[in-house]
Amino acid sequence: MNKCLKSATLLASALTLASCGVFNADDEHVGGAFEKLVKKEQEWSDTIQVVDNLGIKDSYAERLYSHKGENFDFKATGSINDIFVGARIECGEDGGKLYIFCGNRHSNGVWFEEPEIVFKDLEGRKMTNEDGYTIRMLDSMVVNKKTYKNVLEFDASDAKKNECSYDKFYIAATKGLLRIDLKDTITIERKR
Amino acid sequence: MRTNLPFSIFAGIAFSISALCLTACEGTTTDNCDKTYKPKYKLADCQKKVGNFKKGKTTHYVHSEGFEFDLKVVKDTTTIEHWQDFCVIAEEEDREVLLTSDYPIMSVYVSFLGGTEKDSTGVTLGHSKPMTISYDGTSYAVELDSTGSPMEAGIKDDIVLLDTITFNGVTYDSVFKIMDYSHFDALNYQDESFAKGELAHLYFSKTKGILRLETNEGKSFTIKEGGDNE
Repeated sequence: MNKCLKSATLLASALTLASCGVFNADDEHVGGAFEKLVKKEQEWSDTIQVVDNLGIKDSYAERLYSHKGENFDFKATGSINDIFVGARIECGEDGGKLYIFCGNRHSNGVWFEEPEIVFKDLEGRKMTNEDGYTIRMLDSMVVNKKTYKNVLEFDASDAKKNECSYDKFYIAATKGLLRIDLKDTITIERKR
Repeated sequence: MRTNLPFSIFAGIAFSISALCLTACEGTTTDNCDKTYKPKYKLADCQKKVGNFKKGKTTHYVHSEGFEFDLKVVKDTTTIEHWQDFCVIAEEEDREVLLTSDYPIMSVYVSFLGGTEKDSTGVTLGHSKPMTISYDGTSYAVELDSTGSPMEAGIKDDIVLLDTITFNGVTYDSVFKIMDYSHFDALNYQDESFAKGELAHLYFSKTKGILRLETNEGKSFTIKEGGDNE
């Protein structure tokens, strides 16, 4: 059975690598400024402290996995707030796709990555999809007097039907969650 | 790696045949039964009333982190679920209650699974009356008696009935202190560690519902009446 598993694993790995640019590096890529999110090889997880403008403190468990030129996968979940922030990039011949997951926590405490919001054929530094959701790459952003580079902004405030529990979030390419805006008046910010 | 290929093909074919067999057999689960049993599990009256989880009801709480918030019953639905297990094709009446707060965004789930069964003459055959209250990975699952009181599950002090307890200046009578079973380690259970209060507890009133809910991460929220409540 081990032999069978090894064969299956090898085949799956080969298919994954072939589809993400290792064998066809000229074709598969992440388009526009969104390429900055996949520049650094990184795999890490941590817990950050946040505070909102009402003074309520919370923490977010976050995990980031990114391989150069291939993909970017970020998840963050609130401890007190039922808030899930998820972003994933997959490379592609036409610039790749960026998925946003707002997430819902089910009764058993497990998070489900839904709804799935997709931006296809990544290019430029700002894109709006057919549902009115917008993503934008910022060169930098200041949060609690600290400057973070290469920041992804997700904006659901002009969506036809916002299925997320928040209006906006900001994540830095190498540092993770920076800020979440919700209910027009609430801003949750990462502490230093 | 090349030498593994024939084995892989063989294993793949064997797996496919097994999967096809399993799929084909699934639809004939009850075919070999001499008699199919078709119970209808209903909710008991106490499962419909306990906790006073009426849709729209709002209760004010203070969180251990210092902020205050309202939990509102935004959903109270009863559904009929159908399930099948060998010679049993069951119909089950379930109730799901959802309490949420606007901000911080928090959700508490309360579920009641129908377990009361009667035969054609009205005689009660089964009388399970479970209630589960879940929040943030912590789950309080208890069996209720006919009056809606949580019953002990055979673990020392898993449920304690308190004559009175005071939360935020208000004294409550007949409060059930319920242990979090989901993190209870039956094999390594020791009275001493339990006495230290390492497990989370739910303080529950049959008429008021959730008075205090503790999580296994050391957080809690406690009812605070007299302010914006109800």
